Amino acid sequence: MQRDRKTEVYYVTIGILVFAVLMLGVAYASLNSTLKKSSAFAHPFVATWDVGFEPGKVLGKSLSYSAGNNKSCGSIDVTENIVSIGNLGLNTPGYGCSYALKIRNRGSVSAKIDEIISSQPSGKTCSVKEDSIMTCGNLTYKLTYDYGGKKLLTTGDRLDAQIGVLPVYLIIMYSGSDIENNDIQVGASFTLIYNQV
Amino acid sequence: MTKGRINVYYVIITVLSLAIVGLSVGYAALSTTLKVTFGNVTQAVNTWNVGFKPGSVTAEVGGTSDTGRVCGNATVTTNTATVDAATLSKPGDSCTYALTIENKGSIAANLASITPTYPGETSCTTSGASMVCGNITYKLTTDSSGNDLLTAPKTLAATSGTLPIYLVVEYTGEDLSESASPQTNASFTLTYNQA
Repeated sequence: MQRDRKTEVYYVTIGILVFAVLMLGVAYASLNSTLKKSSAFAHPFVATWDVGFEPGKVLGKSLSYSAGNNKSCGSIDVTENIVSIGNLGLNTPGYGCSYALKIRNRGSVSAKIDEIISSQPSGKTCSVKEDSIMTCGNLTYKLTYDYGGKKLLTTGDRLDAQIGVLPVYLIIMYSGSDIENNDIQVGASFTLIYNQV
Repeated sequence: MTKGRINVYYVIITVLSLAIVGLSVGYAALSTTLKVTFGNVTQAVNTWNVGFKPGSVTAEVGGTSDTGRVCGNATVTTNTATVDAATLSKPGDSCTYALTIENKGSIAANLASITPTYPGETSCTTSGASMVCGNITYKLTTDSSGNDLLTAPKTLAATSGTLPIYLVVEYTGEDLSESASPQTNASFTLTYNQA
C-alpha cells in the first residue's frame, strides 16, 4: 500500500529531530566522558561552571613616578560579575592606580575569553589596542595579567578548569602631558565574556 | 492515516523539539560576563603653592638675663618672615620663632637649598642651616631641640604637606666689655622646587 505522503513527512521530521537530539546528546556526553576520564572517582561526574571575579574588597595601589604625590587610590568592592571603581583624581603625569583583581574558575569546565568589549568614557574618543588597553586623551585604562602592565588580556585566553584564582590587574594611568584645563572622564568600562572552551 | 496516529506524531515532534531546545539552552548556558566600570576620573590642572603660613609670631625667649633682652615679633607673609629688632645682652639669650611652611598646591615640593646672607659688614661661618656671626648664631631648626633643618625630610607632600621650622637667634659668644655694633639684615633664603 502506498504510504500516505503526510506520514512520510512526519517520519522524516521525526528522524531529523531524533538525529539532532542524538548529536546534542553525544556532545554533552563527550563533555561528561572527558570529565569521567579525569575523575579519580568511579561515580558519575557532573559538569560545573564557576567562572567569575573573586568577591571582596580590593585596596587600590598608587603608581607614581614622583615622591610626595602618592594620593590614595581608595578601595573597591568586587562582586562575582561586576567591579565598579569610584571617583578618582589623577593630577600628575605618570601617576596612576592599580587594582589587583582575581578571576576564578573553580568549575569543571575550562573557559576562554570569547570577547573583550571596551567602552569609551562619555563624549571621549579613544584609541583601543587589543581591546584591553584604551587610551582616552591623557588617560590609559588597561587590564593585564602582571602588575607591570605589560601582559594584556586578549581574546582567546584560557581559564582552565579548577585553576583556582588568576590575578588580573586593572590599571589606570595619567599617561599624557600636563593639561591646561580641568577634565573629567566618566563611565569607561571593560566587559569580558567568558565561554566554555 | 488515522487522526489518532497524527496526534501521536505531533506529540513526538513536540517532545523532540523541546528536548532539542532544552539541550541547546543547557549547552549554551555555560557563559559568564564580567564587567569593570570606572566612575568619574578627574584631571585637575596642577597648581604650585608653597610658602609660609602667614601671621604674627611671638618669640619664645631663652636665657637667664632679665634685663637688656628684647625679642621682637616676627611678621610672616607667604614668602617672607621678618623679625623685628631684637636685643640679646648675655651669653645664652635667645629668641626662637616657630614658623610653618605649607604646600597647598597639587605638586609635591622639595627643599632644594638654604642660602644664608650675612648681616651687613660682618663675617660669618656657616654650617648646615646655621651661621655664626661674631657672638650671634642664627639658625633654622626642625624642632625645639635645635636639630638642623637640613636633617628634616626635604619633601613637602602635595595639597596638605606642612613643615614646622624654628628660626633661632642666640647669643653664643663671650661676655662683652662694651656693646657691639648691631647686626642687621641677616637672612636665610629657602628654595623649594618641584619634587
